[in-house]
Amino acid sequence: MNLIEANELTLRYGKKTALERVSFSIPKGRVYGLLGHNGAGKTSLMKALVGLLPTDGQLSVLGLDPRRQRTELLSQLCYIPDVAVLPRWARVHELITLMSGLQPRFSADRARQLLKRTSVGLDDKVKSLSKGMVVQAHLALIAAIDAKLMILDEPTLGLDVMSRKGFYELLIDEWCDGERTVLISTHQVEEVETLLSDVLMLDEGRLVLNISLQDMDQRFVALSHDPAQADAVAAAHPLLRYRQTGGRGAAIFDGTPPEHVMGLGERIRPNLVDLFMALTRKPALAPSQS
Amino acid sequence: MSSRFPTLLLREWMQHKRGWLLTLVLPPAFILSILPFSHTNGLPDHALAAGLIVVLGMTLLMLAISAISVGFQLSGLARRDVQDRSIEFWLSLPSSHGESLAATLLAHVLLVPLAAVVFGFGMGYVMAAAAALKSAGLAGLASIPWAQITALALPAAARLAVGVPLALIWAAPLVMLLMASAAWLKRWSVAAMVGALLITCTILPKVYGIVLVRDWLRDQTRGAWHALLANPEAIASSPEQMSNVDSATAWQWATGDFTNELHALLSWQLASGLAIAALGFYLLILRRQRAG
Repeated sequence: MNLIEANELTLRYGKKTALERVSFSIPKGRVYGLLGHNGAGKTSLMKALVGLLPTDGQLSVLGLDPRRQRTELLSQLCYIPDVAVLPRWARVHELITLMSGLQPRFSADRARQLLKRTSVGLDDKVKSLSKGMVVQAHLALIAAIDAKLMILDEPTLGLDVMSRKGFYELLIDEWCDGERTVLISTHQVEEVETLLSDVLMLDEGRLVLNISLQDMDQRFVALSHDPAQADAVAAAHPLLRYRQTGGRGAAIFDGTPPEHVMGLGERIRPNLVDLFMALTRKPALAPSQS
Repeated sequence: MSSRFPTLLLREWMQHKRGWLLTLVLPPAFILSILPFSHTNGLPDHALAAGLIVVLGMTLLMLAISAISVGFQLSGLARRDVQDRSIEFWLSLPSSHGESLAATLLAHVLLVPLAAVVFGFGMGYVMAAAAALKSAGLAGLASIPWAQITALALPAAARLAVGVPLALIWAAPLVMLLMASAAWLKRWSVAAMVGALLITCTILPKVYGIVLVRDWLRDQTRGAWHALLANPEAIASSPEQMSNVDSATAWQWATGDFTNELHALLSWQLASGLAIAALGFYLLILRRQRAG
């Protein structure tokens, strides 16, 4: 059974469309990246998934209707909505007490154990912590919930490199076990690429890509070529052309380009950042199911 | 029973305990600190009457202070979690909007005033002892009839305590409208409420002769006052007179006074007030739903 099933999801704020007929499903044991520019609809989708925004279309998360069964759903998943939203007046041990009473699947012992991996003390007040420490404390609390699904909305936005690295290490080491699924939205594409098993890419509210990284390597072809071949490569209509360090040109194709074009350079692995640029510059591309 | 609601109440305690304790402790501490330099001549010579005045006066004073304090906090409470950005954290946890708001209201509007009544009643004894010590030394302290004071003050304080939830029911439409206006109109809410009061209580009656809203507000406020203490004159018009009453009569009066006010709840006036309070609560829920 899929943990998330979305079918023709549409979400509008007045006349502005935040999500346009978005369909996808997410199975267990995967790490999904939800990528998109600012305003692409990532946060709207995340909020719809946890029942905070109403949508048209069908949506099922853990077999529940997020809007009608929000409280029941939130007791079965982990959700970090934003950076540093922990109440500033609280001490960390007070948050553990509150989570124990509010979240039935929360383990206080597990939270204390996870907090030992961070530099956050149980008696620390949230307002005395740095932004990075608050995010680590939040993840330690959320990761102590025995759930199958974790939803993270831009959890490391505005953090320095060390804090971001610490966050992702904690996430991978302590939560991802091959059975649980993480859906993480970000536009810091290069940082999460190594964590992900699958990618959802949103552009102006539309899902322009839904693919596993394994399939991505097979479907998309990047060609590194000599600058002199640029016009010939461009004539084959790649998704994106860009310059590599060292002055060589490169182009990304959806599918294998004709043999004479392949002969103009050598095939390289397209990275997620370049693909992100290619697809969100060309939103007309039809989404592909993995 | 779900642990959610008690936990939400616990959250209120964790977040506001310092303010609540200061509100409760500072006034009696201030009175005690100035007592050695003050006159106690205003108190009656009769020890029982003086004791009753101090104990019941302190109980009423603490209730009034907590009520005023809550009144000032209401508009801030409506936007508290949005202002400190923690609303997204609370919305990420499995509690409904209704129970989250209900816990906040219950803690601030009911439990704190009730705690103030209990604390004020206890502090009344401390004050009475301190005043007796100041005016007549240890002999004065020894002359206070504590058992008699308790026998008469307890029914009166109990009547006040059970009147707090009743008064809250009468005040609910005003409380909820104030909070809903703060949640939706933010900094303009106070101006909006003052403007609304000015229009409904002054302009409409004077210019257009429309007194419906003004009279409704007056009856609602009167209901809240009576819910706390409807007819104290029925037992005594002053604590001095009350000292002539026995404990059984005092309890009989307290029970009767409360029962009369319970019956007064069955009115169209209150029903209309509760409908407005329900609307205010719904507006708060709507605002919270959209806050994430």
